[in-house]
Amino acid sequence: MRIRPRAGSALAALPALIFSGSIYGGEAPDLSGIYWATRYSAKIELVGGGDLPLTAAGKAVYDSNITGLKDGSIRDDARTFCVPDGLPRVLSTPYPFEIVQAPPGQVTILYELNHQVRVIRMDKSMPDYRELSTFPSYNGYSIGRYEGDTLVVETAGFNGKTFADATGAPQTDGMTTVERIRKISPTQLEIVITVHDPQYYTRDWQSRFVYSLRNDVRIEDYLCGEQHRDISSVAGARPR
Amino acid sequence: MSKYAVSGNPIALALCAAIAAAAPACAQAPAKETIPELASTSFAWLAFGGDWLDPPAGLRGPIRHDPAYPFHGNLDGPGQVTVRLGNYKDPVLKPWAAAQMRESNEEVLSGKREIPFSAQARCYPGGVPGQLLYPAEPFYFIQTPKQVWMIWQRDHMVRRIYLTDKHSENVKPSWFGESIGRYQDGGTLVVDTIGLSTNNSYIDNFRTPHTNKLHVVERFKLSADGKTLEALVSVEDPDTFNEPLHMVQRWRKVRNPLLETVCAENNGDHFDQNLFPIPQALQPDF
Repeated sequence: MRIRPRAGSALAALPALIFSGSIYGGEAPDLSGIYWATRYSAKIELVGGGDLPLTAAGKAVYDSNITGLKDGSIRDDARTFCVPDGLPRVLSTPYPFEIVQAPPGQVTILYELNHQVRVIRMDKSMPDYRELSTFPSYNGYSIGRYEGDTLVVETAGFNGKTFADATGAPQTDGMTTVERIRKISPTQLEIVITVHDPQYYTRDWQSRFVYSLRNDVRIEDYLCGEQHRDISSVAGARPR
Repeated sequence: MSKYAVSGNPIALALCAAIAAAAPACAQAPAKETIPELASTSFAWLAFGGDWLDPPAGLRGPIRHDPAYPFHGNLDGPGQVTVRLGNYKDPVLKPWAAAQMRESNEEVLSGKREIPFSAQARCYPGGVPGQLLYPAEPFYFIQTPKQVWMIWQRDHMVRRIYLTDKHSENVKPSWFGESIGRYQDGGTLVVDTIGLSTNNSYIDNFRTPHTNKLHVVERFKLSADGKTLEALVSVEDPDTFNEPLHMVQRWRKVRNPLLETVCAENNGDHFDQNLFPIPQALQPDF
């Protein structure tokens, strides 16, 4: 069920209370809508700047990924066969995506890129390691909760077949992430992701993404290899 | 039954908000139509099979198999499973469509392609209404007052249905076209779709083609006990069919959480059957 805007008068806020009900364990911020980045970076940018804090093992894999992606011995399946990007790479998409705060008990994020769907379970706890490792996935298993104006999403159960970014930054299936998703203005959404992947990184690191609210566009069908939407408005996305 | 209103009328909502201070039940007041409860985190819909069922008596039904090559599917009991060869001699077909279907059948019969094109086996969108025939994994709804989403677990295919009153003036052709919908007749979701692209898009698993004039109306209705979902699907395409076709699909309610199923994984042509290639980008988009 769509959560109505809670900004404005108390009168306008009343339906929000009625419609949101108690399933969210409190008043849910309205994050629903279609969002679109205005810039793209192939290399993931860290909060606070600097390079990825790679361990020796992480550096070895990253070097091998960079070489392999260049000479073709390693294939970027997300761009070649359009498998899901995984986290945090999907956050850098230069195509629009939408957040739907429905059905009750769930937040659904639907990306135009590779028609990816992320299910954020608001009414579940994280399954134990055995269950997660039985059904690992590209975009992992996500649970969420609201903290004030922020949707906090924890994700685990990745399959380790993904890159953290388009340059081949490495990740393992033991990675866990926390995303903090909030509106920073009526027309801007911010996602700050914290990546915990101790096998390849010496410390947890964060990356921040900002998107514009774009309810004027509709999410389009996306099939690998076809002509897709014009993304020339997204700075840094390689022109076609 | 869900409680939210179909109406997006801001005046009605503001009025309701004002009245709600005195009478909280007003939250339900603007409801004009019963909304069937199709969306949930705890259940989904699993199709009865991969072929259209017959419509009510009196309506022209779906294309069937070539009488010379009866179809025997995995669910049809003991016996050799066959591939689907459509009845290209069906008099409802325009000559070009009959010729295309015959050619597809001959490609299989000659052994040139052991398994004919199948959208969902080869990671293509099934189109409208073809996507409704995906039987092996469930699909899910999301319902909001302005929109309905249909999400197939298989390869996370998504259809969007806008609950507005009319189509856009210029619709860019796409796999799932432009769908507009409304709730009517006591809880039926009626979806009207145009703008469907034609390349590798079929209305059934017999590879019955269509033109860009295809117009599809789907009527989704829950059974009285809420455990079965049925769609009566009507397709008209005056350049492909001599009269509209009417077809039925049914789904049973299953308690499955939505999982990630990626079609392109492990989907090579391992037995040299000249399978239709899966979608692939020769150049990355960005």
